[in-house]
Amino acid sequence: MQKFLFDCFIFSLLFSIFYCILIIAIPGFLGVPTRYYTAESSNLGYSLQEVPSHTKIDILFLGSSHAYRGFDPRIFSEFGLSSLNLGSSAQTPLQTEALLRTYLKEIKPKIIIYEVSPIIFSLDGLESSVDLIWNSRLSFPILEMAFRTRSVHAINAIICSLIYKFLKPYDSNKNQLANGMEYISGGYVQTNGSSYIEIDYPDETLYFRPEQWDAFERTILLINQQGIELKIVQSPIVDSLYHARDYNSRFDTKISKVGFYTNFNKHLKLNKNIDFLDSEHLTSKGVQVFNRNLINHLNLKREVEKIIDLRK
Amino acid sequence: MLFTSSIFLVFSVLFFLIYWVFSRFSLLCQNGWLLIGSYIFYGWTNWMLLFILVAVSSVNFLCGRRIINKSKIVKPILFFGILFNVGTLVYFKYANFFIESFRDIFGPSHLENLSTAKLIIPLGISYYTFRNISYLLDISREKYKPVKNWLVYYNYVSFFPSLLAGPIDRANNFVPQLILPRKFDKEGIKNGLRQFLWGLFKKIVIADNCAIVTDAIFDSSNAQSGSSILVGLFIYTLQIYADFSGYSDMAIGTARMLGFNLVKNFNFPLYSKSIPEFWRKWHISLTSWLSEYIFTPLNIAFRNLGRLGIVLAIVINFTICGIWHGANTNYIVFGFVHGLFFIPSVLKFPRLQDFLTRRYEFVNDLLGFLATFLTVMFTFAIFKAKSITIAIDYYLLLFSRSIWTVPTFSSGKTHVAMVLLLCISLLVFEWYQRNREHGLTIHTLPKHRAWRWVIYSAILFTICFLMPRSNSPFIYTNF
Repeated sequence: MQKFLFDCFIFSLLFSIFYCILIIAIPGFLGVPTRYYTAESSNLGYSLQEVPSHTKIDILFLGSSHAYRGFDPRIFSEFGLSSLNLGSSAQTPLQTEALLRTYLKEIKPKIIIYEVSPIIFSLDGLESSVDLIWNSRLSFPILEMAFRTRSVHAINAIICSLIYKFLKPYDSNKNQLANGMEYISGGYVQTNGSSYIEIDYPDETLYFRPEQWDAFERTILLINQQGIELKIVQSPIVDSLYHARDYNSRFDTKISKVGFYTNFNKHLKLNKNIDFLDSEHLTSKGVQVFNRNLINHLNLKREVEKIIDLRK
Repeated sequence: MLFTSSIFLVFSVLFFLIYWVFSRFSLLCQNGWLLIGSYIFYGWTNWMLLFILVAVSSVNFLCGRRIINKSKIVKPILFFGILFNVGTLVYFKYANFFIESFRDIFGPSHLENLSTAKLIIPLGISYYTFRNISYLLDISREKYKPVKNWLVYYNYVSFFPSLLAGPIDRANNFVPQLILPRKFDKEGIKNGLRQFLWGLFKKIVIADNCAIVTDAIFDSSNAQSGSSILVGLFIYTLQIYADFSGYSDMAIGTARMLGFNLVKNFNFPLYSKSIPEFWRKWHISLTSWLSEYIFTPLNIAFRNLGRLGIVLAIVINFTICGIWHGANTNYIVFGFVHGLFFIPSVLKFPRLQDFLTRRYEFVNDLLGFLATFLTVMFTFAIFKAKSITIAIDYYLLLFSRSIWTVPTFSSGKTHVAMVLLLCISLLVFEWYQRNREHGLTIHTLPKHRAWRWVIYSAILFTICFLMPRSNSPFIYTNF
């Protein structure tokens, strides 16, 4: 038995080396599965570089593309509020949790605005995991997230990124954003494009992945434990898409139970022809309207002052 | 817990280490740990299902103990045992189907008080029920003696490698292996690992990648052309084969690593030259079970009817085989149709056959293989469709003019091309292996260990590299 176990150990060791070599060589050689193994057109690399210069800020934004394309720090600074946007493409609660566990103590924000779109609870989070693995510093929470994603591709991305970064420091400045997108300091991505064209949306049903909901609850707990004020929001989307979802009230009820939650689809009426680029993302004009409304509605200026007074 | 889940990897390493350490102590330790492991494996996703498994094992064990005394109560006990097993299966698996079918036929106002229950179908119930029934029937026929040790019997019913999707092992093959201590056999374990690896490859690389293509084609079949459906059916045939035979290889391989030999469940059926041959090689443990406990008694009962009796027995046997797959009209039709395909072999024409075999053996074989493959492939449309109406739609598309158009695929041409290449590679590779025990037998591998390790590493790497984002569950664990 000992001989057999020894053989297994040697095989595992050799296979690990063989695997690491191939995982690096094959994707580059075939040029096919870059979607799984490298971060493409990511804004997260840029925004994470801004972390050291954005400590003790007033507001930290988290969430998916609704966040990084929907909260413009320039508008918040007009109200005297400093902020950083760490939203990333298809960011699911698993990645939000890993991000916070890695960077929260460094950033120390007064308020966190966490954008939740129902769809993020139904995603496996692979794209966003790969994005985070490549652009974040490697930490235990990131490794844990890769394993929680339950995908071999997330592990492959870890191996790839580790070896690549070891061979040559990874430069996230080389990340190319998609055409028409411009990175604005503070983590906002401004998108230029034609306006929204109305289409018919099929009815949608809601599916919560248990691992995503668990990660969401752990994230909320972590924020509460750090004594940070949390505002959960849902960004406005096009009315026709919003009403194609038969689960809006159920979703609102479920999220409201976890923390302070505002659904801006109910509070804000936007013009679909002017304020929307597509069914889910706002134009710069739409962002202006939404952000100003959010600052007033949530009384953010007052909230920040209250926190400062309390801390004094 | 499924063989392809990451938790199984952790479970198996821990389980095997402890199992082989226990093997040094006593048989009791070995069997005790095996039963604990089987229950952890089974109850991992829903521990409530364990109660059903334990209850079913207990009732059958007690019935078996009663059958040992050749008293007058043997027949009632046997009757009760079979009724209990069939009743449990029908209740959990078919109750809703019968209520819905009754309402469909006689109108929704009928059976108003009987609402369809929200039942969870216990995983593997079809497999362990058949194991229990064969045990009771065999001991009543005095084929072997009832099991005296409850630990042995409970292990026979719930042996984790074959619990969820077979093979359906009989007690005469499996119980003797449980009453003797298993000894650590390095070569047996290595062979088991190889078979497991081959099964894993078939499931993850072939079946799961095929599933992406077939789901895209068949979920939106209205928007598809006949040619897309044809390609979809070819891929689905390989998917279902790779999925189920992959599971069987993993189950048999795992059992080998524990020192057990399970019955072979697949014998390269896709190269069969006739439908009867196909069924002798496809899901062997089920077809042999049905042959012994359904077909043979029916054939005896209908012996006065001559060939018609044989045909009737076969058709009934295959209809039951269809019903076994699940509570769905499609499966019944699938089984019935396959039963009908046996008719030519019963009403055979010896002279014509002799002539073809002697004169044109190769052509005869080739035609037989093509005809069988195409027949099986076309009938899998019934198996894949969610209802008979949808299956008819598939056939209408297949026999429409759109069969001559260039197929289009929503899952991407590159992916479909890769999947087709994988399917054809599997067919070619297994053709060369068709006389071997499994796809990765030692005889076909290089003699030098280093080269063998390179091959294992390449297979493992391909599994990790071509693994789709989401694993599809095993098709046959639903049955």
